[in-house]
Amino acid sequence: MNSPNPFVEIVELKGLSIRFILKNSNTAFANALRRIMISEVPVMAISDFAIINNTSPIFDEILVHRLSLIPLTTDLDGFNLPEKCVCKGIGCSRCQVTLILNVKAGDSPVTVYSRDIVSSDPRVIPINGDFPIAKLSAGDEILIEMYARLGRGKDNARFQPVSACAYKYFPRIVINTSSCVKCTNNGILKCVSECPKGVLDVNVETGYPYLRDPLNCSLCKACVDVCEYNAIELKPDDTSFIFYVESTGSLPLHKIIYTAATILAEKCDEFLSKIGGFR
Amino acid sequence: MYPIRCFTCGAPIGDKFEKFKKLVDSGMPVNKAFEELRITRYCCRRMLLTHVEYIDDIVELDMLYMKKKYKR
Ligand code: SF4
Ligand code: SF4
Ligand SMILES: [Zn+2]
Ligand SMILES: [Zn+2]
Repeated sequence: MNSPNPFVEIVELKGLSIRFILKNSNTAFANALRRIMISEVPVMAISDFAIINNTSPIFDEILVHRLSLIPLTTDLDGFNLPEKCVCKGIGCSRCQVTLILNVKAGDSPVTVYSRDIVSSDPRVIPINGDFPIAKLSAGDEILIEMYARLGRGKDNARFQPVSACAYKYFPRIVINTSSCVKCTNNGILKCVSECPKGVLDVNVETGYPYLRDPLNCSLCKACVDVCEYNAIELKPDDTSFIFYVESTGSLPLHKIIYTAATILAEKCDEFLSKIGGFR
Repeated sequence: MYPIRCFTCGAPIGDKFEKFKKLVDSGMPVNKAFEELRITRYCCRRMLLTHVEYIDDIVELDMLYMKKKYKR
């Protein structure tokens, strides 16, 4: 293949979400990247519990479920995956962090928040102290010891570093100027008024419709369906992809995307070494 | 209690319910509150919009029937 090298163009980076265009690529690569971001990039989450005392109205199972879903900040270079650790998964300081939740209510009800969790390692703490975990009535007590470790999204959703992670083809609208009659509906071009996203517009020079804002076109084909003259065509560009990725806050976005690409490269290397000598 | 994550997309939203309630109770329109909290997808929006918080009733019952009064 001598297609030009793929590259990434960042459109928008706002807090925990990013929108970028992957160019000169193909569906296989884009989808591999998406799937690896969702299911293979490791992230810290609480996965083992020792409930010592829980007299709250919240059942143990629900409490444990809620605690495990709280995203923890992750230091990918500082920890090993338990199955790849020197301790072979038993749990040591290089693959496990202990956290303790100990709250006791006095004479009035108390809400337990994620800020009450005490971590033995400052690198691994809840991303946010405002997650309500449980509510205690007077005199209730919660005492739980928790063990956080790295894991992968394919094993459990708590280990997923991204929430929304999707791509779409880069849209391209082609107008056949010989058959377009510039039909109007209340003075606006029919296809322009039909677009639910409002991304089609009239070219002031030629009077033909054009795609003003390709990033927000949803490829819904409403503009194609409304045209009675078959003059408008939607041709998605299958070498460019608009990605939208949103981090849960455990890992910064650049780290998620970079790690996903690294994992894909590792997988390819492994594949090549297994089939042997076909380079 | 209010879920920690959105059932559909997995975004952490547990920390937003109290803020959302405060904003809406103070008279802010719901769509403005969503924008303020930067909740953009409708899966996450329905989590906040349709939640019924009944844990306070459970705690109250617990206090009454477990003979744990606020003041003894
Ligand atoms: S609906 Fe068809 S004919 Fe009418 S303006 Fe659009 S492209 Fe042209
Ligand atoms: S495909 Fe849908 S969103 Fe895109 S320009 Fe046509 S009508 Fe608008
Ligand atoms: Zn270990
Ligand atoms: Zn959602």
